[in-house]
Amino acid sequence: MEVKIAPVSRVVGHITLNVKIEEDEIKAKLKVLNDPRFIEALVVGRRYDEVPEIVSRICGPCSVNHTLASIVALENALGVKPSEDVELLRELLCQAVNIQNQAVHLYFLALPDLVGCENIVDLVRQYPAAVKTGLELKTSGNRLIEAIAGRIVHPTACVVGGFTETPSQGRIDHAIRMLEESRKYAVEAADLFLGFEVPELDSVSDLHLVTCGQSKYPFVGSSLSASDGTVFASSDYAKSIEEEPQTYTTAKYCLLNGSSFYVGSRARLNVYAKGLADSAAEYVSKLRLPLRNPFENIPAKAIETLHCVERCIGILNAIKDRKLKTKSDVRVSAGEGVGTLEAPRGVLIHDSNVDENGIVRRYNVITPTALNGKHIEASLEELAKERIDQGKSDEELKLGLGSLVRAYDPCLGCATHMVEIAIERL
Amino acid sequence: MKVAFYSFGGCDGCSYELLNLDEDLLNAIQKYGVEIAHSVIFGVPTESRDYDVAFVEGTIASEEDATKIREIREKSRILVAMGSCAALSGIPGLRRFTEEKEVRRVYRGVELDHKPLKEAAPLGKFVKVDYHLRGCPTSKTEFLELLDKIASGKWWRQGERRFDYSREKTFDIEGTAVTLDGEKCYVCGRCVKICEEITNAIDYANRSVDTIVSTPFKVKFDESSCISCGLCTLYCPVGAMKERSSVKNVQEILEAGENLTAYVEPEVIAALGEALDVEADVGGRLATALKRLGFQKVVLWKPQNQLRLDGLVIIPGSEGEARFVELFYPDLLRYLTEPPKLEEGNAVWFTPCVARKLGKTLVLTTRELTRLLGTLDLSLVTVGRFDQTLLGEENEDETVATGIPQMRETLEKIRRKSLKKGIVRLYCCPEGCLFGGGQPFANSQPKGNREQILARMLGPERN
Repeated sequence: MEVKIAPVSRVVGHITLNVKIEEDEIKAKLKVLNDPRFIEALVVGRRYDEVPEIVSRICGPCSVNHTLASIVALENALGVKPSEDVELLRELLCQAVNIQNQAVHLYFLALPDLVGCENIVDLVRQYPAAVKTGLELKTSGNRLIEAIAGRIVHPTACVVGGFTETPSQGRIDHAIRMLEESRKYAVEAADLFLGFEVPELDSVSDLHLVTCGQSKYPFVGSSLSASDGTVFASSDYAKSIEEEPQTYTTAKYCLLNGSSFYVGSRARLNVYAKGLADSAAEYVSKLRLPLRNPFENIPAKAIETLHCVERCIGILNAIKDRKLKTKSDVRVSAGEGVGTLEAPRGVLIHDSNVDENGIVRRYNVITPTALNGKHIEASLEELAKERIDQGKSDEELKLGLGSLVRAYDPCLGCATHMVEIAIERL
Repeated sequence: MKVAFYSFGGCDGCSYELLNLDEDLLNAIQKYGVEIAHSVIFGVPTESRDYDVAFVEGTIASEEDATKIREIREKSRILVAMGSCAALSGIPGLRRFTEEKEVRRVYRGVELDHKPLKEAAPLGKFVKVDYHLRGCPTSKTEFLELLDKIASGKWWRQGERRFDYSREKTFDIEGTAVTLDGEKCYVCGRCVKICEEITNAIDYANRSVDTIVSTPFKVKFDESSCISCGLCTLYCPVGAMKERSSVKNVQEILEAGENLTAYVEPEVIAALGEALDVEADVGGRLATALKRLGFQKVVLWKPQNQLRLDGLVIIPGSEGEARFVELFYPDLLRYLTEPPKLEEGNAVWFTPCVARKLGKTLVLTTRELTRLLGTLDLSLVTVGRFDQTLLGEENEDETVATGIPQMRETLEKIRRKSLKKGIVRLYCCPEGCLFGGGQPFANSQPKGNREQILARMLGPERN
């Protein structure tokens, strides 16, 4: 028997799902059908300052994260040290993107599954209040992104060395007001999404990976830590993370020390639950850590959103009356550098190699969806097995598989910026 | 309004930017009665048979996508290229500046199921796009404006152009055979389209609302690459492109009672019959009709030079083909003969060809003939006879080239010396004189092939 969902709806991009069910084996294949765009090849031979603008186009929804990761990687390569204020603003920006992205995912991509709506249009008709909450939450994130980065999709103010412009007092005040306002929406969201019953599923592998950084719940950092206890510097990522290419898809999926693993809100919450803001921490008690069920990614996202709103207000209040230093000099020198940070969907790695004229010689990007790919497939196989044992119908099985894919919130634009296939044909 | 959102090779940032319209988007959906008929991100993965508007983002970078976008075009009344990628190929399009080896490194000889094309291209390379929404990501406000325009019917397509109608102050472009009245022209672009198949003498000029159709720098047609084929006059829906008419002159001479001879080409009779919907004996009826108008003598005439030469001769069908050789193949001028001679004097020539006006003043096209006939109903006149029939014989070693592509091919052969002997006849209008620039616009397809039509229309005159 073969179950096929083509295309999987309410995800960013074009993806189909094939689950082959045989007597002794179940094989899931997640086929990403977005076209490869060879972004890493495009930036080779270009000057370092063009690169963040170009790699931003890997993905619209998390363009800010791609821009920032690229900037951090290039700064490391060129030996530029950004000011503390810049690092703070970047942390802030990542959290703002997180609020906005999670709001979109929770309310528009995941909620229809939970309340049994077919699509967003039905959702708007049947649950206008929930949609309004989602929009308010998203808008507050958007205003903050605009205040710091200039634009929501493909930011304009972020450059190597800092920011082209310091956010004005007025805009910061406005963002604070918006966030204060949306605090109640974030609480509402946490109540709503922790209230749903989560389908039972035990993760095949509980290995997960997060970024380590300065703050208690870091979004930007210079090292990565896996749940099996290994911690490694970002620049050593290639030793642990192995990109395993697939012939059937245009995305390359990854393994961590030989096994599948996951990244994203669930991984972050598993590791940093103690660093959550107080109001968000209350909700964690309703869950059992570590979160082993992929469907629990959704409540984790809701908790994180609330945390980010709180943290953003905190940071903004702290910098409100301070004069910010948002620019550092950039001197060009040859070098290699890696930038890692937490995109809404998990760890994002940008790796650059720049020559003495500031020309990029090599570039590599590993995106959260590529990291998650293998784990999604493994979970799908697990789910299919359980549901078949329970004697569920095909239709129910399809619905379950679709919503499981959506729970991981794959972003296919990200996944298919490039395929590099190293296997050789005989 | 049935709306579809499609996404190809790109970052999906445009759809995401539209989500950032927040309540404005929801309001717009309600206000304009938008039914989302396809959108993966909105959770409508099924596809409809047709759409009113399809918003498409991203570049076309694989064969599958190229097939898909053509399919979408077929289904959609209006196709909108959303964002820089779809409109101009954007960042993915940078691949054409990337060294081949960098891109090749990516494949390493492995055949993917999903075959990428050599370059990531904008939609316009594969299908006709009705509107381009600008920006990376696309402009939210422009999206709403467009939706408003489409819903209210204020938006319409002008030929290939997407802007509202506005015209430059009056201008005329003169020519011996063809003229353009800039005041009448509304930039539909049909003449530009047809001229692309000839010599590209006319094209769009200026930008945006100032766009006009013109020869380069508004020079006279005779000074441009125009060969006066007259197809633009045939395709112009408003009579802005016109042949220089001689109907008045002929009428004046006839009224003065002068002695005039009418020379009629067979193609005129064929097209006339079809245009006036007279099935049989059109030739005979026309002979009577012309006599009634005051012509002393009516001759059925087909220009056929009786040349017997050892070498190569290029015979142009009219002054137009001669001009074409002059402009584009000057090295072959030594093989070129004069176009079939039209005698001056008291003679009027009826021909399907506009370019013949370059040679002589009293040349009337079939269209002008219908004007000359006026209210005279051909189906009511008796069947007469031509006073004389001058139809040349066809030679055996003749090469006939109709339409510019065939003409070019033949002339290239001569240039390469792979064609050295015989008679080469050139007719610039696609499919030959029967579909010449001076013919009436036939709404239906010709019934049967050229020979059959001619045989039917000419009746006994042919033999």
